[in-house]
Amino acid sequence: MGKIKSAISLALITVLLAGLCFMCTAVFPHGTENIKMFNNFVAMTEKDPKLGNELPGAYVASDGRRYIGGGYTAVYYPEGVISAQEYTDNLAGLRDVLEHTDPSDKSYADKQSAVDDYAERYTPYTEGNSTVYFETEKVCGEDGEVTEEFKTEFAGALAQLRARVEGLHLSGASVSVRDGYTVEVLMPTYQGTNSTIAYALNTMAYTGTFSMGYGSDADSATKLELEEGESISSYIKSAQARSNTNGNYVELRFTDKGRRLISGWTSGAADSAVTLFFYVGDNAVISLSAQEHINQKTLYVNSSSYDQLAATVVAETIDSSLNAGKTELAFTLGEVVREGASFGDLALILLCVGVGVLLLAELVFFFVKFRGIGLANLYTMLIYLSLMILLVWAIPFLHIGVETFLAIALGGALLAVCNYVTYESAKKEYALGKTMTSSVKAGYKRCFFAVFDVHIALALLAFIAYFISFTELAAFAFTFGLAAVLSGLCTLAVSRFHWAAFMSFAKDKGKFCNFKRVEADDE
Amino acid sequence: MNKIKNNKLFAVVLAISSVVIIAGIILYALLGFNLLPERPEKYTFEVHYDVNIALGKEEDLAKLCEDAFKENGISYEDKEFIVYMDGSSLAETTDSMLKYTIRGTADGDALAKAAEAVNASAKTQFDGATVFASMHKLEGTRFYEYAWRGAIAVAVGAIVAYIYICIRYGVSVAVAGITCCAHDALFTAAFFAVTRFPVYAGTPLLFAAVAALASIVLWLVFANKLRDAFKAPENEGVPSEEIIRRTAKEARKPMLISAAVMGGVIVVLGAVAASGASLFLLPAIVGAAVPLLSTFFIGPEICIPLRKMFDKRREKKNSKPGYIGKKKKASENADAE
Repeated sequence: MGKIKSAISLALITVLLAGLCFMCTAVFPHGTENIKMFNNFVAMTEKDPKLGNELPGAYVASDGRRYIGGGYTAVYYPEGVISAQEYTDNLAGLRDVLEHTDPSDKSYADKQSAVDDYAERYTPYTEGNSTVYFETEKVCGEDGEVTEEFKTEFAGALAQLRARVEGLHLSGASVSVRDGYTVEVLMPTYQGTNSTIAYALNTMAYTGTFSMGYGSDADSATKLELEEGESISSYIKSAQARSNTNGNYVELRFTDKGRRLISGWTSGAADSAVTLFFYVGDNAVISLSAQEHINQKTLYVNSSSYDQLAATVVAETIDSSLNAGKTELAFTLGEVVREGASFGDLALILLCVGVGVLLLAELVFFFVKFRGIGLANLYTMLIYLSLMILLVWAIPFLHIGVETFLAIALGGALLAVCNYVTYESAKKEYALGKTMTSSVKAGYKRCFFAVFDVHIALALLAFIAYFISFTELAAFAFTFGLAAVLSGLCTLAVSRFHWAAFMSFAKDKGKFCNFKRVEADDE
Repeated sequence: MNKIKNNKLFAVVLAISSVVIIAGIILYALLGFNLLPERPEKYTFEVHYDVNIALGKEEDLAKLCEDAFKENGISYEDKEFIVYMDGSSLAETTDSMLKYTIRGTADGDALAKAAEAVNASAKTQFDGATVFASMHKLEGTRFYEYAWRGAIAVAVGAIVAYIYICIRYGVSVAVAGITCCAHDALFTAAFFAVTRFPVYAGTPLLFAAVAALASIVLWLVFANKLRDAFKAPENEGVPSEEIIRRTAKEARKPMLISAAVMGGVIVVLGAVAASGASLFLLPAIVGAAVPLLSTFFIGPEICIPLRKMFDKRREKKNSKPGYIGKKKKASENADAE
């Protein structure tokens, strides 16, 4: 490559790289009185809520919130179970009313009996150190112990709730049994989805079997009456969340019988609109206004309020109730608190520091070992990292997490090793006495298929694993697949181009690359 | 001499691996992984309070609780002041909670006593404020779908990768490689089940995936060297067993360097990362190290008999009178026509 061509190419690449690095790392306030914030790609990328980020300059969303990681913990109380605090507060309230009533007052006896009734109505769960109270009539048998029937109902409702949370495929989400008979759900936060998380926490509390109906409102709608021996699965097969460029949908798949039923309900929809209701227990999770006759096996339900999480929550709530046993135990959403990032408040910045340390070590090694080619390696590595950040930002299902950091770092290591192999290969050719141009050509030719095969095999493994797995493993696999493809391109094309461009300015090319000829023994 | 040493080591490594993998499977079936970081069982001590305490008396409340802990012999792991959220909008409310996390062998009765003591003292110390202390026991539930889907994902991905390797490097290399890969993924998962090393749920599979990746990388280092060795003119007529053994020995250094680079990446990220993330990352080094065991000692030993078998078959085909290969015969027929 000529000097002028090299200079122009390098100048353009340097400007491009500087721009990319700026877009990937810079955060600063701007606008009148600094009320706006310039956010880089890292800041704008979705992050694993396990990673905290308490440093100033963190991403500020349009609603003014900063990304800090963590999630929301909600406690669900099954019907007939209340917290010790609720019991104590309610009883104290009734007693307070009684205390402020004159004993000669007519209502005193009623208030006294209200206090006694309330105290009698509930039994403390002694096995759990009285942290919850049971409504005796609903939960306990004559012996004062929890009935087997309630235990079975609770187990069924818990399984339904767990299936829903698992079906969300959210990294960091968890379900725990609290005090034996209440449930705690940890829902991780993602940017801008506060209202969706609230919707998810409330909707997931709906338990019971699935049913359908039509009419003008959810309460008075005509519900499907199942015949004896018939189950809801005779009408509906499954519910799934779908996404495309137009939005997020809930896909309801009916059986032929279900199609005929919906067709019958909506036969007059063209003249007067009919609303279809889809219930879980007594709660309508979907209200669909039909303005034309529906006669199809698959129904796509879209709502302006559906983002990906909301659509998944609705689909999973319906799907889990289709597959659930007969459980009618209702949950009530209790206390909700904000939890901190489980990996620590500075986890994100520390991981960035880790990647920085690795990059620095790699660059120093190449500069020491190969001198001038270190520059080619530096440019290649910066292009690799910038493009990986851009890809993780641009691909909607990827987010920054420990697994993505690991995948990017391992991809970087692969790139470094392959660069080393190709440089060493050229070095060996040069040592034999070839010119620098033919050494580079022969070096790359010699290890082309080795490098190519490693990258293809790794990318195959990673992408296939991504299509089958969920959460952390899926994120790791897809990111590593991308990293493998980029690493291959960078090693075989980008690095070679940079090498040629930088080398064109060197007078002594061997010295520039720290390559030496093998001294022939003079006999 | 070297052959005997290699064979002996192969048998030793195979025996160790078998014991670890079998023990891992049994322990996993009985106890699962040690999911202590996720605190599958923990106690929390929660003190609910209102705005009267939130305005400057939070530390007094914390002191009251910690005094009660001392009296009852309780030690806590974590302490947080948390604001309650409105369940329908997730907006902050005026009520708050002081939450202590107690892990390990906590005594529920002692915690209940401490809660009673705090409730009794709070009435006099914080007159007019609402304070209510209670202890809670949490038992985590597991998501099984992640685990089996993850295992299938790694297995299918590895099989497809080795089909590619089979096309590029031959059946003997691919079969030996996939054996190493399966060994490495299983050994890594079994390692965590046997050692009871604390891990997050799902991460043993991630570590197994790292092991599968590392295994493919290291095996390809060997496979590339082997391909070059078989092509080299100086090795013409040399028995394949000898070539494989020599290549395995020569490939050890680059394989060690590759594993060290992968391990280095994991160690640096893990060492710099915060404690939670370190626990997520550092154990992955097992996944980077285990493939050394299989690619050094197991893979080449499996490759040798397979290669011999394919060589014999090829020789048999070539020895047939008039056999010149399918492609050559087809082109000759075409020329004749």
